[in-house]
Amino acid sequence: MANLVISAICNQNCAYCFTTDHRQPGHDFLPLGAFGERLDFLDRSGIQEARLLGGEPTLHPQFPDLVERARAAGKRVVIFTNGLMPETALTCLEALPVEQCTVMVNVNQPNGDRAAHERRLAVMRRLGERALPGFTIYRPDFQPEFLLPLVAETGCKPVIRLGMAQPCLSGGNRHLLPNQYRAVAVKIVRFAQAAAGTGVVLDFDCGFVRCIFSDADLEVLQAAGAKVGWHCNPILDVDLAGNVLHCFPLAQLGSLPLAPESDAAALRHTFEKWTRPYRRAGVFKECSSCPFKASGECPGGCLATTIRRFRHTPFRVEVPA
Amino acid sequence: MTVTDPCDDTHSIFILPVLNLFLLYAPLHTFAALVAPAATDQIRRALLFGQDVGAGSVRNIVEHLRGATAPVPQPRQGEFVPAFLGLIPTRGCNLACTYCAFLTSQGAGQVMDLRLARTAIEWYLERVGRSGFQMAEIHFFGGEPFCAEEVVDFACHFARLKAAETGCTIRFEVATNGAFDEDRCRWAADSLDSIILSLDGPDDIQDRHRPRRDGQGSFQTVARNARILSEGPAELAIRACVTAETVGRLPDIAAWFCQEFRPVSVCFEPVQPSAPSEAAGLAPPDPWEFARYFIQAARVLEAHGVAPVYAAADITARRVSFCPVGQDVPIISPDGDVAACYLLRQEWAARGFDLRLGRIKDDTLFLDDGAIARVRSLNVHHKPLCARCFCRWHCAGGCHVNHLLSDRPGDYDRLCLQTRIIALRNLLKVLDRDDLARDLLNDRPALERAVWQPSDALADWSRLR
Amino acid sequence: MTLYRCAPAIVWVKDVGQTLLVAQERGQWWALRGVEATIWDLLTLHYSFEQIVGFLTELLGLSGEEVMQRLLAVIRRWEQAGIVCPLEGEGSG
Repeated sequence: MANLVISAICNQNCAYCFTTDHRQPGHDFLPLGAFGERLDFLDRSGIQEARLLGGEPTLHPQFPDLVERARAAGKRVVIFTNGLMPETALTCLEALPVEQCTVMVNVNQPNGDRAAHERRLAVMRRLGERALPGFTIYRPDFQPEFLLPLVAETGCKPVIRLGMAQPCLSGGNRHLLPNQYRAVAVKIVRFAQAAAGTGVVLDFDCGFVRCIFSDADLEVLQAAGAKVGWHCNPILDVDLAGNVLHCFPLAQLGSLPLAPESDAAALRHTFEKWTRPYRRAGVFKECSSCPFKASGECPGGCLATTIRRFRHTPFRVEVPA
Repeated sequence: MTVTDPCDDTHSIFILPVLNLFLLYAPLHTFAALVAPAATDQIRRALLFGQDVGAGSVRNIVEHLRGATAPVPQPRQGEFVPAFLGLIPTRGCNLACTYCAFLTSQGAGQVMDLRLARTAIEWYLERVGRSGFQMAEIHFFGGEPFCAEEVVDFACHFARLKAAETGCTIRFEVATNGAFDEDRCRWAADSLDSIILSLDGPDDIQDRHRPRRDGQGSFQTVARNARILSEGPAELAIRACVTAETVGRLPDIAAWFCQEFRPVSVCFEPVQPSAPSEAAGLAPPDPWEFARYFIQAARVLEAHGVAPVYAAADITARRVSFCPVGQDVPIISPDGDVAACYLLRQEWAARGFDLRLGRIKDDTLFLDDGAIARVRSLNVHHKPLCARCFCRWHCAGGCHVNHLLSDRPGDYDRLCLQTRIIALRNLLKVLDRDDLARDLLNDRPALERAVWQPSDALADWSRLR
Repeated sequence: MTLYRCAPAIVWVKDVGQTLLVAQERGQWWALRGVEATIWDLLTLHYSFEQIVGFLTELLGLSGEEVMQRLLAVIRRWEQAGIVCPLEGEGSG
């Protein structure tokens, strides 16, 4: 898979936003021509999905055109949105066949902005099963219960994509600390049970680790139908300038150009080579001696979190000849 | 020899008035319930006199209380098997906390010799291995342990080396003032398992209570380090000293701790009166005020998933001694003395205690059997005031050195009062009745009725009504 | 005397049982264990060479001379690996 950034503009300001390290002034929206190059890249790479990202991708003034081009190229469309989309974008998406479109709606804990929350609900109602709510956990006192009536009320897909907010390398965004993971895991297990009771299943995004769940927890999650997984791989986020990132949190690690001959496998291979030394470690100091990691079951958590554990110490020592 | 509890089983069943109900509490039965007065009477008659109670919830309670209990906590016996090893790398400190007597002590600057640390660790790990335990623990006390950082470093490396040879897991804990540089802070976060950080509150409090020796404030450094520790793998516990001046700010201090840092627990401790604290004009808080504000702060902490700690009111603890004394913990001083307590010898001696256990001499650790027996006898079984207090097995009479108890039943002092109030709230919270705790705290006469009753024992209840 | 410093590209993390070093951009890594991990630990705490010798002498129960030779060998190995590098002209002779 690969995510294509089509908009750097966003109409929200989420504290945990992982694009913090990669703001690109002067680039707002992806030109149509460049989008064509992106689709060619997907073709070369054998990728059947066009995953459109931002900022807020639906704010692209030619959003319906982009979607149409992606569909014409035979791609299934996946949109990562906050749900506060213009009518033109919504109309375009609700016209797509359900099986050919997924709209991942990032839903935050409702705060004082009722109008935004209502708009989001309205959008999700119209999208129906095209919409799939996502929730990013960035503080241990999260309360996801509001998502269950939201699913029921909007008729969206009965799946909630759970993500743990991971840091950008600069640490400039709100994120969970590894020493908070276990407390979060306990709440997730409880939530999974509650969700299963309403016919909703949880789906884990990247960054979760095996050890924060006990064997008993895993049994509960499995019984609740949760799609549990421990992964951290090069996503391949392609930005507006045609730079390919391992993923947005690792933007500061560097990028590769999206050349005419690039394909996803080769890019992924290069990023894996870059990051392989850091993969010896993980998010916890126990990771490098962990049997789950050694067996390959768990990669040791988010690479950005792992790399942030590393530091340079400019020591000096005078050594006799 | 098992110490026979002078009270029979019914004296481990306690009853406290809580507004128009009674809290029935039997820690050795792991039982607590709120009961109506009439039901309380029935339960008492059933347990003491065998009267029948008919069917229903009262019967269920009676049957439970007639059932098997956990064993009465007993002092240690037999071989001296350390619960953990305490090391005092130095009594010296880089701060001049206004309430601390350590700096004025003799030998404050003495640093433990590495060989002495080595001897202590070898002895300890050999004992652990011999006892078949898989887990060892070393706790660093002071003064400020990192004022003898080489000793801490050496102890950690040597202990890990030795523990690896025996397949034992080792844990390290340090009680520290947090006034060290960033490299040391990151080392502590990476290398230690648990860090008890003394931080009394925001800058105005911290800098007033805990200045550097040069008179400058310590807040900036300690707060920076607390943030670094918050992000690291070591468990961070904050310990804050409370005075009459600061007690009213406890809820705000708790909120500030949660906002700025990531502690797993926050311990609030009233300042222990001492010559330095009196000279600085720092008085302990009124116990009723301390309890009230501690509980408010506790609610703030709990809402953030942080455990509030007032150790004497820890209702999950079942013990005969509140502290390492009597629990077979050897604490090694910089001069090689082995004692049961990390306080200064002159403090215990002034109160007539001898808490020495032995000595390290010529690379060998010697323990005195008579000293061990003497120290083990310091336990709650010999504290008459505690015999009928519902906090008996939790507080166990508090600090042996600093909490001198009256022999007269019900003659509770400041420390007893705040312990009883906080423990009572803790019990009500477990019963999901924190609302009752709130009401009780707002009703001083009702609170006093609960807290001042000279005996909480159910067996004595009729005499109290 | 030669003054060594940590090579600028070296980042490290301390895990249970080992210390991992990574040379950024070169993609090389090393897992230090045992005495090497201890030496690294002490260096990052700014121990001097002499202090490290004294520390290891007590830790390992070896003679000061044996420890010094071992320490020198480790530093030379690290120099060859590019983990530490000499600071030209800043030594004390």
